[in-house]
Amino acid sequence: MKKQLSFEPKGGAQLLRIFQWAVLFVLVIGLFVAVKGIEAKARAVDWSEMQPSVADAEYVGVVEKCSECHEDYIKAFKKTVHGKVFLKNPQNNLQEQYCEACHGPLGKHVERPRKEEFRISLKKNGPLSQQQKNSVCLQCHEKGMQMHWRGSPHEMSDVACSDCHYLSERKSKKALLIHEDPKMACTQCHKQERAKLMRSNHMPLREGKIDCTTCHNAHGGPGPALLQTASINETCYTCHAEKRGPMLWEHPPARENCANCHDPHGTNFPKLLKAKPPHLCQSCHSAIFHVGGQYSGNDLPGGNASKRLLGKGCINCHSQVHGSNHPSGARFQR
Amino acid sequence: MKKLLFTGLVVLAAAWVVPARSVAKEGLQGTITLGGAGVKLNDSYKYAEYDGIPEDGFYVIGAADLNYNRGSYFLDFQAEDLGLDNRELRIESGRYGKYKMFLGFNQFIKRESNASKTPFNGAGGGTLTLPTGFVEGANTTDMTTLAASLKGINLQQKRKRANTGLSYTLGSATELNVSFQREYKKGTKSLGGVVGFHGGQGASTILPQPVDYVTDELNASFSYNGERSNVQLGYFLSLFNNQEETLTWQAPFDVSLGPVYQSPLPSNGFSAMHVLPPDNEHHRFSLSGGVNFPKNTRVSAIAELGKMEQNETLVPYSTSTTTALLPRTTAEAEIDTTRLGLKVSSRPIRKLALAGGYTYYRTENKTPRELFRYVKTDNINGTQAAVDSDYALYSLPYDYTQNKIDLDASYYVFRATSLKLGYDIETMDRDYREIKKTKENTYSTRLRSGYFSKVQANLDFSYSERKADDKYNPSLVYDAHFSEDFIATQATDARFRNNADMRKYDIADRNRTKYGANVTTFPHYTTSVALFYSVRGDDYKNSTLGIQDQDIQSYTVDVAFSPIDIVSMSLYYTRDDNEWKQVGRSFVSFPDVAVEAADTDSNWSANHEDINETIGLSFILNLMEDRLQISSNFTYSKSNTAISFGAGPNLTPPTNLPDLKTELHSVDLTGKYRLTEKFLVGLGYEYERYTSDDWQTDGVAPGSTTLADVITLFGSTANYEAHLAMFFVTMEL
Repeated sequence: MKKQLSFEPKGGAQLLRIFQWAVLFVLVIGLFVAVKGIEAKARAVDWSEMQPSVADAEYVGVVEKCSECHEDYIKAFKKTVHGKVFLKNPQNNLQEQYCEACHGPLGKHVERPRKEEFRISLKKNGPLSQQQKNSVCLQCHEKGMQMHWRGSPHEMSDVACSDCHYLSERKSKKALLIHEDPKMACTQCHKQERAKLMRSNHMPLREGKIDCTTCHNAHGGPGPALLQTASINETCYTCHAEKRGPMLWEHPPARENCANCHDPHGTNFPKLLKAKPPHLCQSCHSAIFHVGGQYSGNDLPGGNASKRLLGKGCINCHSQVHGSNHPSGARFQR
Repeated sequence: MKKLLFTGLVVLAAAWVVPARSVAKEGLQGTITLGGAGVKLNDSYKYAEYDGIPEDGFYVIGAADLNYNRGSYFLDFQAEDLGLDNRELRIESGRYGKYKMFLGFNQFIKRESNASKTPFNGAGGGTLTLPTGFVEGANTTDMTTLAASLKGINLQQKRKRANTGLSYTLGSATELNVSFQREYKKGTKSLGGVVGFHGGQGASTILPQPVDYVTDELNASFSYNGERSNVQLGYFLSLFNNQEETLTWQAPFDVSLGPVYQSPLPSNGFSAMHVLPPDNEHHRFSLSGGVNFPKNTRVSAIAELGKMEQNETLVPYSTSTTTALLPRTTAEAEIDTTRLGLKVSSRPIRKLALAGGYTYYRTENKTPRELFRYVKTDNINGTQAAVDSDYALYSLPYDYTQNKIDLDASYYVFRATSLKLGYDIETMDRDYREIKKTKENTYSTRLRSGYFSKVQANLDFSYSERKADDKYNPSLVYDAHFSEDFIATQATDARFRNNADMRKYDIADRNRTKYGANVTTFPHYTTSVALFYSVRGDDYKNSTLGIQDQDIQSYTVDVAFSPIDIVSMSLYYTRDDNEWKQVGRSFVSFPDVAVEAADTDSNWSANHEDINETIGLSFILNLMEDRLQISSNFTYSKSNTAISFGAGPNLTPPTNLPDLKTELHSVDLTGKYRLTEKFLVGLGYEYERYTSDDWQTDGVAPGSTTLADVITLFGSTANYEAHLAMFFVTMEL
């Protein structure tokens, strides 16, 4: 039998402790650097490295100059939050450059507008790599929700900010997304989830009442599956605080991972369950008498109509499966 | 709620008025939409279950998206679905780049049925009583007045959220964010309430459970964002308060199956009691940060400490005992969480990307483990269980610890073509489970290419192996759960509850293989065609009982077509197949439970096959120089779940269950015509039809005698056919 690899060989506990101290160390260093009082300024892109032909270009710094040729773009851009902040209350030198904050120095472009090498295009199929395009956004946005972007699954999969966001026009009510409907940004790639939203039991994403970012942080949420919080359950508890407990009688798989039994993207079974009771419950439970019994078509009305199959199935009686706080709730019947 | 709204409005108004005097007016922009819609719908809760659209009638369409600014100061107002039960409003004001504050109101509705029935008086509250003259019985047939006692009840819940918050930038590098939210959730849901002595012979009444929750949330963070590093300190508080803490019901069942159970039954019946979700609170402190180094290298980390706790006063074991019998009087439940994360990413050269991460997440359950000698299902003649009975159980403070390391490397092997390799290892340490520790190794690779200008392709593959460190040992749970005195009364080979051959799928040994491919092509500048295919196969290779294997396949075709500027169309088709197999064993305790439990002739199997197909089509046509827009969407979704069975020679030959089916047709057509530069009028029509076949609820009417030992509640049909027509005017400012 193949030996399982482990990062906990001899002295594993010590290794673990080193990791934990490393985390704290990085936090302390970060805090130190911050407190040291480095003047906040954007992490400016080295435009000459990105596109050597603009190495000696100068900043124009006048939006009206850009408007002479790009009037429609700028008119739409002014309605975006970027347009408003950059124009009305720029927070640093970079934002004062307006268009050039994201497109680099355009002095040469103004002089010779048709020369492609003098402009820096961030378009999806443009010459810049995903990492180069993203570095433009990270000048200001490597913080808060985007703090863990680098090294995240999306970043390592060559997803560009512009794959989901469109900055030149306010197409969505928030977050400058590529589409009015926020979930369209995610379902470009996540086709299976798009289909699951159409299933008979679903959360109100289809209706637009919540969106994918209600649970996920696409920029690198440090939880599993890019969730906003550390665990699946902590995410679920943000709307279902009544399930949080802790309970006197815990149901371990429910405490550990709601997704053991539920598929939050949609199913054809009640309560977003992955299957119907009793068969879902019998995936783990096989005890004497009724627990291990077989429930088939024989147990429908007209035959031996069984309460373990019909109605709520097992949940007809074991109704507190998320955990019970009743002293007699050991079997989740109270 | 009203006070909160009023206070928020005053604060926002003050924030607006002060700067308004000193800055020149620049204007109002945005849109206001008003209109109305009419609905024709058969009697179904399912249509618009999250919208609150009235079943038959008219509702107002109202929405706004407004922005008003003067200089660098702004006031935004957004409103949606004003005429419906899921309306949302938000007002936000501040100074661009400097500070902002908001006040929001958001409603949610979830309809679960509109034709359920219950015999109880007091539905919606915490005490349910049977009507005078109700005839109790040992089964539903004997309850001769049951049908006449039924009263209609809607199962639905509404949430009302009010929130407010402030975001302020201090200097040019530090930022403070504070937000507060209060949510009221009210309504009714269903909850099974069982009485009866024997576990297998209990009788249940599905009760209307009151939902009356108040949840407060506070989120605060303080962050510093420098040129090379950033740090964020955060605090999250959630307080959950249940206004109805118990649900007491008068039992309709005259259960006299056990020698000591409610026999003789009191003349006025007896009451049983559920405890409803306990008040609880959650605190979480976090510190996260990142530092940038040369060579496009970044190190980021997060540390979190959390505490979830509840200390509700415990109710007695039963409605006929007192709290004096309890080992303690309050829950004293607490789970502390610790989370540490470290991530290093680097792109030392343009072609190479490296990432490595470590995650530690621990839940430490501090709830005391204590022996509860409980009374089952409110047995009125019961007292606390004997210490050597199987009703003397220890509560188990379950917790777990996750350690995970993931490593990824991606390299551009050709032009626009990258190859990624990944390796993860995750260990889970659990208390009070049949396995103390599992390890899972995952190896993955992905090839992504845009080498050809008109083709983008991905191929990915991963394989993971989850394995227990030790032998699967049901005794770990059994020995911790039952009292020592009870265990001593059991034969050595009978010391189990769950069959020793059962492997619970969340901890069982498992090999998982995943692979997929997707290709997007642009055969013409007007057209894109994308194909997606993915497979996930799970093999629970050491599970004699439990889930044996599962295969999930998904296929998608996406086509987008825009032959001319004024027309765009898209079409997709997705098919998901999910097949899984489980094996169980039916056994009894006599003559020898150990022998019975090992008898494979009593095995049964269930094969589940879910097939889901979804088709989506959308179409947009712009005419008259974009003054007229016609759009349409069509969606068709169909599912079929077939469950077939097999059984060993000791069991009655099974018959398959009927297929579970759902089918949804949805089509809408909308026309928008721009009357003037500022006015747009629109007409819309939607049609939806939904049908389902569900053997679990079809034909089981509320309060019927179909089930002898369950008084059901749910009685609605989900099927519907709905027509909706709307008219609206949008004014652009």
